[in-house]
Amino acid sequence: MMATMAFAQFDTPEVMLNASTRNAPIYEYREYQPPARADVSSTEARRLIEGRQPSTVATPLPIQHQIASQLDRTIATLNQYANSPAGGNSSPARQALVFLCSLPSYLPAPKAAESDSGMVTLFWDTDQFYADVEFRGDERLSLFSRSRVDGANQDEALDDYPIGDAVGEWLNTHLGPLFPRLHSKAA
Amino acid sequence: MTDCQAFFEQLDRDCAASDTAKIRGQRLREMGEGRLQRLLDWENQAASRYSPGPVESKEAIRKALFNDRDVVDGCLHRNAFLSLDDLGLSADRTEKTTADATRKRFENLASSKRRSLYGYVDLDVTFLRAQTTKHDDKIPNVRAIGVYDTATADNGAHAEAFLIVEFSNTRPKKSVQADLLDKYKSQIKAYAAV
Repeated sequence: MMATMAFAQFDTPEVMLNASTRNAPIYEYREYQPPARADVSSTEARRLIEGRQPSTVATPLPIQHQIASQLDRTIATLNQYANSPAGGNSSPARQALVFLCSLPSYLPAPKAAESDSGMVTLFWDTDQFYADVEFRGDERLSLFSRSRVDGANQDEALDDYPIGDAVGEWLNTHLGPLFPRLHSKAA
Repeated sequence: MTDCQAFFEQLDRDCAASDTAKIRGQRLREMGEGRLQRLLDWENQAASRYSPGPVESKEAIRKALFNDRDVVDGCLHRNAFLSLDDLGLSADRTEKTTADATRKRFENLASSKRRSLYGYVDLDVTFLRAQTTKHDDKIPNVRAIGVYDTATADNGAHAEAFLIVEFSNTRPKKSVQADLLDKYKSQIKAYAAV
């Protein structure tokens, strides 16, 4: 039973801050419910996309950095790129954020990188696969993937695909097969 | 002055005169008939008046790696090899300079680019020159990367690697970059903080 319990305030920084402002007990046990990743990412990312200030302002604590998920770190990185002088409403980083929000929950969160030309890339790299999705700020993406199953490389590339169309079955086709174990578990 | 030197010096002048640095790789690949053989021959000629000599295949070239561009959370990214296609993959010949001098240059580069320096990777010139167009079944299978001694007045050890073929589409080009990624992802070195 203990394995299913967790400190509620560690679910998200917002939960912890709300608990503090309401004078709620600092440590409150409750049945652990994994955060709904799609909801967290979309709420957070949409707030960043729309440029609104967060409802609660606080200086991040070191421990929050340590426990931040890969998704949190990627969103923070993209937000940093989006707020750079080259950023804007149509910046590659903001379009990458929109794409990130559309990812199915069974996919691990990608890392983000930025090239010298301002192109933003989301990428995954494990023993079995490598995949990256590039954003140049023109509402289109380019995808490259390499499957390394059984020691043989199988590469795929797709250029200038509308970001808005890269949802649903498209994601299953181009990224889903790269995570067969997780994918079948989620299905 | 050889044709090779004249070409690279003209390229430097053109790039300095306008914001067309990206065309460097493209200019190499647009030299018309006999281009590929010429580019292969040029590997055996000095490409710069400041060069100590052509880059030999037994050498290694050290490439700077920057955080959030080439390396993210300790993971090498394909971005590290993007410049093969356009600007030219810039590196230092390890046998022609010292590790300290290279680090100093990399730190200056990081400052000028407003990047955070992660460290470096040593690329085996033999491996670079062994890359072919095998990923592109629409063109003949030939060498894909050339390495040249593009020394500068400030850095006699400077070298550059370029894609020397025009692929039929982006996938094989990215496959070559992914081959380099797979080869070197476990060989990146981080600089210790000073």
